[in-house]
Amino acid sequence: MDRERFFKELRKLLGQLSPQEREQIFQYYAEIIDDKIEGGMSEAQAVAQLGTPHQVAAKILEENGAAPNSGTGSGTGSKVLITVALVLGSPLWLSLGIAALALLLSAFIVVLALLLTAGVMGLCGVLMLVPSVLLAFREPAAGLFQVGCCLFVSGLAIPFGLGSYKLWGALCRLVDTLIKRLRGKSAERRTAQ
Amino acid sequence: MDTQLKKGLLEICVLSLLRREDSYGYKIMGDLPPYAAVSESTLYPILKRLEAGGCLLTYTQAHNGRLRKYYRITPEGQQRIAEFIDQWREIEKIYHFIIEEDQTDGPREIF
Repeated sequence: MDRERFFKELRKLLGQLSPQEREQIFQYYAEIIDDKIEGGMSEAQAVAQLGTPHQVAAKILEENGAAPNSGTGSGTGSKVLITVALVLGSPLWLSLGIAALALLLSAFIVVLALLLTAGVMGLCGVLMLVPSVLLAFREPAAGLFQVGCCLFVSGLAIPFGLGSYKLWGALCRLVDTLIKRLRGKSAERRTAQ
Repeated sequence: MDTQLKKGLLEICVLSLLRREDSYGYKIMGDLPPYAAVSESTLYPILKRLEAGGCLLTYTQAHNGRLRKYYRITPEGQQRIAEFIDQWREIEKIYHFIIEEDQTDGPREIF
């Protein structure tokens, strides 16, 4: 087989690879063929030593985790198909994505509201303490009751505050994991190509 | 030999060659010892993986009127060789342990 036919066959079998990758592969083999010819071999011998185009393609694609093309269709064809599918399906995945984001955002807002509530309760409890104590000197029963209420309300602020602090942390970790997963998926897709 | 193991070993072999001097595809194939011999199609993914891992870099140089792609080892590549050697010193110790156990005579008594 001469080199032209070898590369022609190989080009067909490696259709699923990107043009840049194919060119790199061809340059690699062309260089080796030239080196072998320089070493004294004939073109036919040099090409034969590489193996059949099918064997070569199989080895290359094995690294990428795929099988050689049967001949029809090219890599760019399937890429177009995927893009079209994504665009057509966008009402679905786009709205699902927006809904998920909205849910996440409202979770953050709820936690903030809890924190605010805790702050307000704590403040009120503390502020009302002084008038309540003063009342206790005039009307012991009523005053002590009010002091109790103040302590109770400001006491509630502690679990509310701690709770919202922990929830905030958990939400942040959730967002972190989601981002890492998304990054991992797109990196996987890139190395698979 | 286990294929994954062989792939890993071949990568280190190629890096060792590049540690001595920069080289190119055909020369690397010729310089590899017979027990580590590879075909062009096996060498290509090895070189690609090493480049992707930052263990080597490439540059082109003219030779007899055509362009040739040369490979050069990087500091990370040197590091990779050092790690390999350390790892295999550990494996060697374990290997000797196993060999000695294998050579103790007679069956052990089982109570």
